[in-house]
Amino acid sequence: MTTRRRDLALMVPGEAEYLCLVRDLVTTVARKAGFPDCRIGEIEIAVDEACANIIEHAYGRRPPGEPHVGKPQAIAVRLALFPDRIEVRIRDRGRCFPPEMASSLDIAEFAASGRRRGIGSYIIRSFVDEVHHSYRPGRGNELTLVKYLAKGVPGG
Amino acid sequence: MNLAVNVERADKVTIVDLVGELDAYTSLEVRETVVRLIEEGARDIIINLEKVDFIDSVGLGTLVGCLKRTAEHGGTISLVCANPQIQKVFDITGLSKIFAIYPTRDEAIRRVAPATPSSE
Repeated sequence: MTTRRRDLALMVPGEAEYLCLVRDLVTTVARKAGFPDCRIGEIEIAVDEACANIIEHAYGRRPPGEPHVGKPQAIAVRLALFPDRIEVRIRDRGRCFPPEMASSLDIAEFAASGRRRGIGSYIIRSFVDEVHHSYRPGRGNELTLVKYLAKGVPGG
Repeated sequence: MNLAVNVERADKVTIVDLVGELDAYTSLEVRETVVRLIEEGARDIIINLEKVDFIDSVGLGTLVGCLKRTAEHGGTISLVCANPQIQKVFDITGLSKIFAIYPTRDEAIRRVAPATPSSE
């Protein structure tokens, strides 16, 4: 049973140019935890998609390079590292935005329309072992992504 | 983090070499580059992802947008992908069925712009 854990936290403005900072933290921590490269890439893209969803949907999209009107809203990323898994808790203060539950993608529709709706959530669900979402009015969304060190473990 | 975009115009094909990460922040430059190339008359475009080490759904959406736009002008978009992690994203989303994806830049050029045998 796993009891020992280490936590790391990062808070970034809810802007696309900071996505790389979040990815760097996640990959560095996962690598130090002993995750194989293929699974590091999977948790990296899942966290990126979750943060990109916040920027686009929970906070509303702002074109790259265009300054914020008012104070930029933040994304808080907390990583809890257990011997058998990593848990990434991503919080925002935007409107309710639960990840979509689609178990498949209509890729022909995507190719025809170019609209990406649902693809980010589909990638998240494809690349992590567990996804949990909660929303509290006035507090925002909290999305927890769980990735186990190896395949074949609970939820994996 | 950034993305370098380099364009090489060959005889029958235009190659867009990307180096870096293709995400919500960097994708705009790729879209603008491809739109400009189409306006300048490019039709068959190869986007080389050999040196791209990350792509997300915004990057995928940008490539799909490029595919649509070139098709509207009678052109094609082909990809070069050698990174298994990126190939996995194309496979998971089903986009590997939509795009022509080649393992090397040279092969993509050979397939997209095959040498025309001299008839004279």
